[in-house]
Amino acid sequence: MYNIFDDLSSISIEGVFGTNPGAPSSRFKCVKYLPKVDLFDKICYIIYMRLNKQQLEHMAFNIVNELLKESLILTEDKEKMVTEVHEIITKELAREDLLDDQVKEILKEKLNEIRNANIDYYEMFKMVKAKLAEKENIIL
Amino acid sequence: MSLKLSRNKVNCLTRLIIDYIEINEELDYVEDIGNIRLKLFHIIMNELRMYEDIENNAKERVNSQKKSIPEGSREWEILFRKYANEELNKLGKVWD
Repeated sequence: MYNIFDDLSSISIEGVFGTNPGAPSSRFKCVKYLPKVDLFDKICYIIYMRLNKQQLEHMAFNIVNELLKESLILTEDKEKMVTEVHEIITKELAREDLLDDQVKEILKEKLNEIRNANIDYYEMFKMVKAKLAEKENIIL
Repeated sequence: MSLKLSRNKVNCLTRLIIDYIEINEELDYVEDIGNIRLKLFHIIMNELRMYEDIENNAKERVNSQKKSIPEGSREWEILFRKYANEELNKLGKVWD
């Protein structure tokens, strides 16, 4: 079975940012510090901020309600449809959450490299995530 | 504040829900599936815009407190989420 981590063992700072990551570049911002633990968690929280439970429930309800209101679909059990649409959306977004966790783990292991190279953590996160998403066929 | 999901992600969700509608034998659709797809895309985008408005209002409410609460602090986040959820709950879920 394909294991994303086998493939990622080869990802290095150089692989993502080029051979001279310390050099000024328009591709990424350099920062003078790297996230400390509390800041690191805060950044991860910001990255994770997508839809919460209430929003997901409201979205699923509204999708079904609107489609029925305009008679675009017909169903005898609208509550069941809400539950199933909710599940579809949640599952898809959970794939991305899992991906975020994987990127976070990878970058945790490379914090020293990132610190030494003076690289913006958030840019690094986005680039590694984009690479993994492509491999995993996840739309971001 | 930008929308919480990209257009590509909304397209992806739209496609998944359309697949579900097409294979579900308990559902019937009377319109062209392309029209339903388009409608779905707009429903999701409108929802996301509504969340954005709600969260902007919640942010204003937190920032207008007498006591200054630093944005990003735990207290700020708790109040922000409380106000945003209150507004969303006000809309309720009522079948048309």
